[in-house]
Amino acid sequence: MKNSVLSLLNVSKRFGGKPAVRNLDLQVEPHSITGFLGPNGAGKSTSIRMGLGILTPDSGEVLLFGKPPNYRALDRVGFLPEERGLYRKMSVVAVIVHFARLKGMKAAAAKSRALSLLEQFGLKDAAYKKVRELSKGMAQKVQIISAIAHKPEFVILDEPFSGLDPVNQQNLEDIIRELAASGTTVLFSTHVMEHAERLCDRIVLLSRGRKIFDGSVTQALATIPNSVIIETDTADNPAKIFDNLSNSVSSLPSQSSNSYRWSVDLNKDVDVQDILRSSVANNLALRGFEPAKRHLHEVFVQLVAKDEQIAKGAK
Amino acid sequence: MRHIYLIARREYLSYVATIGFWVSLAMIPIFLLLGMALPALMDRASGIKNFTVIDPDGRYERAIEQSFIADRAEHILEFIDALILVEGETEVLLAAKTAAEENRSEAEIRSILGTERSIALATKRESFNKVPPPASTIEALRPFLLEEQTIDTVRGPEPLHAAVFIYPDVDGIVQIEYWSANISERRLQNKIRQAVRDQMQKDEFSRSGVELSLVEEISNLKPVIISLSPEKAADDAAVTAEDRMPFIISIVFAFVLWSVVFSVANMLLTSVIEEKSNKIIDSLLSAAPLRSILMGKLLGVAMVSFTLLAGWVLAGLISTIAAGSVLDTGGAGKIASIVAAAGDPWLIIPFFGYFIFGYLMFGSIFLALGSLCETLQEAQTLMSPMIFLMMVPMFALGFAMQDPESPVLAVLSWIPLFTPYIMMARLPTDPPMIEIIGTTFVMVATTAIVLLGAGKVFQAGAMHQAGADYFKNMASKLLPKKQKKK
Repeated sequence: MKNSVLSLLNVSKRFGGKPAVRNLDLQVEPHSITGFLGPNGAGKSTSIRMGLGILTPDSGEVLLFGKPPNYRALDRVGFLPEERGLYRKMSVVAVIVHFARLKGMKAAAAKSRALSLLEQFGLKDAAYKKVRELSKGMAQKVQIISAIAHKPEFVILDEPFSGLDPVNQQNLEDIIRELAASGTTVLFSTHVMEHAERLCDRIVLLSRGRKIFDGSVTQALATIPNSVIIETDTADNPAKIFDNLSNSVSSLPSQSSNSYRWSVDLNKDVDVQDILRSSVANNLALRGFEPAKRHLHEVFVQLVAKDEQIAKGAK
Repeated sequence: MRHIYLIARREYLSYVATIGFWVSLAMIPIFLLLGMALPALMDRASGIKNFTVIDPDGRYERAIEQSFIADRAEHILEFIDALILVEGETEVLLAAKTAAEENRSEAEIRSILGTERSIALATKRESFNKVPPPASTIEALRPFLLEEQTIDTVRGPEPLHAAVFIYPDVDGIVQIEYWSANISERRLQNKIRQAVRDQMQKDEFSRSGVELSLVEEISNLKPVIISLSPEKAADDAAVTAEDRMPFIISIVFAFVLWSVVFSVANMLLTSVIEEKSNKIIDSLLSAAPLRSILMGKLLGVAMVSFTLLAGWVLAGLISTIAAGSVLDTGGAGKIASIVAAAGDPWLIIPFFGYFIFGYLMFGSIFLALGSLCETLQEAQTLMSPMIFLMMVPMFALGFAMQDPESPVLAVLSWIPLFTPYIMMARLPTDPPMIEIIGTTFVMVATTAIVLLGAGKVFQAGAMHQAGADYFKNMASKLLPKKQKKK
């Protein structure tokens, strides 16, 4: 915790009596990419705003670089807010220089860095254009450049992928990887799991203001059962064959008239090899056998659904 | 300090580094110049209007002629007085004044004044010129009046503006037919009516056996009012234009103060609304403390207003100098007294003091209200009471022009939102020191409270995303809740 770039220690925040964040513990370790996940309204942005000192928690403690957030520490942080905006009448380079200078950079250094980043991001020709003349994707890039121009040690990106087309989403993923490779700590929030799965060393999942998961992507994937897709000659559901191994076997649309496809969800600690062995042992004529790839998306859906069920039950 | 400086700098440049700002600033001297010089320019541009009088009797025509000669003599005297104001009571000017008062000919007066001043006097020409009738009937005169034909004058061929037919009636009632294609020009008509009326009255007095010299003597009787101030030494107690100037300047300063504060407070409102609607506020908050954002904005726009003031002062000087040269020599004398009164530290120092507090009060209120809104439409609802409040000193200043020592103004001075404007207007009336100190203290204290309150509202708007219903929500929290009926 002492070395954590950001620590939220048992923090809670309510708005108008409604809890937005409840007893949240979050540590962001140096040089990591941490995904801050959760459905809309889960409390991600509120937690981030508390982490930056924009909002004060009702209870708990926030430490940024080991100390309560202060503007000396915030100079070491780059922030891309969820609701993005730039001064529309200013030139692109002037906006970047303005924010970099607010973060403590000298004017000349800020301008040089801004021009260099604009070139790197393919926006060299737009440097002296007014922000209002930019496309949404270009403006988004300028906003990202504004967040990182002062070479922060820690970058917080709140929903950075929203509003970007697939090409720019890919570009942003590359930027995040480059930032991490250069030693910058990255925390980003999203509700699109694919990005988190590809980028994160660690994910923290929030639902209804509470943390419902904190761990690596592998650990997250392990929370949902393995599954395998098999193809058989017969229309009989093979569930009874996998009685002790599977908790459910469901029919899938078939790709040919003389074969039948099934999705077999495995019980905990059951390996796909066990299914193969059991099929052979029970003379099940397999025409196809394909272990299904697990995705963070399912983890997200299952954990959030479970949390919401708990909430409904509590009511 | 870095944050305050950078935010102020951005705020300042966002207005000042635009062409629109300088264009609008440059328009001010143009409008001022036009406003001040327009009547003279229009008069000069319209040229001398020629008119003719057809009076079979000849008496009324002579009366009209005499009336214009008297006007010219009066204008010459005014011109010499203006020269005395600028150059002082020189021997030449006093001699010229004596000559003018003795109704000596213009040529003689010009020879006393010398070539340079004579040229200036020649440019101060009259608007109307009586010419001999080119024809004696309206049918024959019609082409001249419709500019189909011109008349010969010393300046060359010119159109005929009006033809006046005077018909004496047997009962002593005179009928004047005033023919002119320009139906809106009334000055000449009035002048002719006045001259004929005077002649009719003289005729009537004559018919009644009253001596004409006696009539003239009686009609020339008028009291002489000398305005004196008990604050001046008995031997020099007369109130001069210079004495009145501080009152006029203080009212002008109060209007300028009001205009600047109102303009720049609106700038703050639109600026913060832009930042909120463009979602820039979170980026700012992650880079600078709220207090610095607030102070930076106030400082930046204050700098805009100083630029605006400097521009206005410069524009005012250019305009008055330019207008003075366009009008006549007397203009320069007036400018000298205006500049002297406007440069009085007892008006300048309070002006800046009142500006600072007036600006901080209204600026921080507008800033706070802007932070609660995402659009100008939203802001309008919250702004309406403020606009009404801001209009009060404007009306009060109109009142102050008539009577700056009114007790109503004294009462309004104690309302801190109005203090800067009303007190500015009242300063030359020497209000009691207790009022000056008391109103200043209340104003400073209120400014501090307003700044604190505005900071809280700005915090709610910027940090906690409070909206236009903020005050309604606050009121509902503070007011006792109604008990639900069982």
